[in-house]
Amino acid sequence: MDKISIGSNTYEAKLRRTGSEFKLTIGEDNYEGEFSRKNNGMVQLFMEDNRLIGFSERNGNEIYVHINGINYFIKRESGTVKDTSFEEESDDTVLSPITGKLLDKKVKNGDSIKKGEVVVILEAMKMEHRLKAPRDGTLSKLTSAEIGGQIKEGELMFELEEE
Amino acid sequence: MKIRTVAVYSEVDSNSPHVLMADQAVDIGPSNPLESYLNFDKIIKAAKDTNSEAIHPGYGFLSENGDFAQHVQDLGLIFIGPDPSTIKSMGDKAESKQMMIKAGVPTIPGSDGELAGNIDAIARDIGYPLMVKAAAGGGGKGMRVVKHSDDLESAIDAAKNEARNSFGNDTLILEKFLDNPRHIEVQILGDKKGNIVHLYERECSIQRRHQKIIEESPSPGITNKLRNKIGQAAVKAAKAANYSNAGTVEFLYQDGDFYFLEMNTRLQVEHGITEMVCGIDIVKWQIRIAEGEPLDFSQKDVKQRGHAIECRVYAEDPSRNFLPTPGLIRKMILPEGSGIRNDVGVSEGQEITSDYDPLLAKVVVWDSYRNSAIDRMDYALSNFVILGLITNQPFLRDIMNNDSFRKAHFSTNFIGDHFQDWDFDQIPPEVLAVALLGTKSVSTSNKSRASRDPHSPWSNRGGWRQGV
Repeated sequence: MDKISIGSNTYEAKLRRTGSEFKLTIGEDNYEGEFSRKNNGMVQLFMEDNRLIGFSERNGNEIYVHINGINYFIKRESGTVKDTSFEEESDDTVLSPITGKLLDKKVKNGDSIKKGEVVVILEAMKMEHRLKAPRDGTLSKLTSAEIGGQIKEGELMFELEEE
Repeated sequence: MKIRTVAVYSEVDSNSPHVLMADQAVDIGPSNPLESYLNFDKIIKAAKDTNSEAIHPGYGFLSENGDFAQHVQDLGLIFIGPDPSTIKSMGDKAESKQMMIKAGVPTIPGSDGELAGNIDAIARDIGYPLMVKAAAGGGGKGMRVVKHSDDLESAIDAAKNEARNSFGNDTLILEKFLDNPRHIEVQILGDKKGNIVHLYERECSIQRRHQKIIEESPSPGITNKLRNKIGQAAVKAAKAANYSNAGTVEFLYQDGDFYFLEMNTRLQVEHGITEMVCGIDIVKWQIRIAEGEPLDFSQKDVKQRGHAIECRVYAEDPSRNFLPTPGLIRKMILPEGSGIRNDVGVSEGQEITSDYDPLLAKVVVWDSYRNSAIDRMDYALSNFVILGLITNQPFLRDIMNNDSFRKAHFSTNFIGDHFQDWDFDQIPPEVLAVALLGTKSVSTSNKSRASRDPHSPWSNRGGWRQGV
């Protein structure tokens, strides 16, 4: 359980994901839904028969969410490093975290790759930034940008085939 | 207008939009305003070094400082604003009130200018409740409401202290306190040939801590007859002050009567709504007037068309007494669409420090009618994505959907009356879902954290500035 607070509201909540589906428990209540990630940090949510578009950003134990037309500033009290890696590594798509130049592509579309394997190398301000596979799998999409070309932050870099 | 622009900025503002938009930008020093934005010499030097011909003072800082305006003129530069002597006389509440009484502009009943003699007797004549006010004041400082005669002495002492500390001048005035007024102000434009027109009124009653957060034009609270009357009174006030350039005459309105409050001798934050409704670019006219150009239209040409509203998006927490909430803007997506105008002072990736006023953006909408304008504003606010710090955006949306606001039943007490202990209602489950689904995916969690560190070079989105 995570302790989540928004203003003076506090909730005990837990979220489990399998692929694009999730189960959310808030106190005694249970919800199910599906999600997919879009470019620009956008998340599309299907929940309780509604389609919703949201955005989120995080810094340490602070989470910032925009959904239903409202911006929220959220504090997570038990947000540990372990939880974070669980969330990040189960993702299928990898977006560029920076704006910069594409230095190299190490694999091709359709290649099967191992977790931690370097897929693309970016450069910004004379520093390299290696994007690695978050899990084992087959590369189903790879950026079409040419080597030496410009990459924008949030741009899709590669995608792994669904498990 | 084919005029090249030079922006001045303090160290913490080097990435602000105004700096990047200008043709040239000059660093005028540390964040402390006394060493930068309030420093006459540094600003003049920046103007001279760049061969500038004129200075637009904006709003805040030196925009209503008559000495600065005089200094600019003495050095052979154009000050885009009224005459320095006008700024000085309007900046003194006691003096400006005397001027208005002489000109026949209605003022709030109170002491005649500077407070002296038998204060208890003066207070009894005015009647309680009354207001003790710093003559040099503004922004809610040096003001005290007194409900009983027993409290008068301590209120005068407190206001005096505050006034001395804030303005270096402890002259006070006494006024009748209006307990449920609306704040209605009139935009004025005057050229150097003595032509003065008004661009009608703005309703600015939605305030917290005596500062406006929502403004609209026209005012939904007055009749057309009164609208013309208040406009004419503002022109009279401006003529009495021998006014040129853009200015605003502020009035309080209660029970069918309006009273002169003060005249602001500068561009107002909320000028955009008047521009939308009247179709007149006020800043452009400020520059033309400063160049000596006469107004090319008269009062009868000025028409109010439709309805405009402005919401000020602040980095502040409405659930904690509107406390400023600095932070890093990690994501910002502005609302788009016809009838929506964003005047934005910040950009994505910018750190909002506690150095200055926490105003982030002004969202302005226009529509044919007030109701549809409110709907459009609610739409615009709901499409304003701003992540990384607490803002008043949810609070502004609640006001747009408040019954009394929609019916225009309000006074300057509106927020205290309706939103005393504002907080979020129950949080919908999808909010927690998005929060726990985590942020956009990147290669590894380590790197994702590094990229969110505001001091990491990776988070400097402009890129080029770090390398210089």
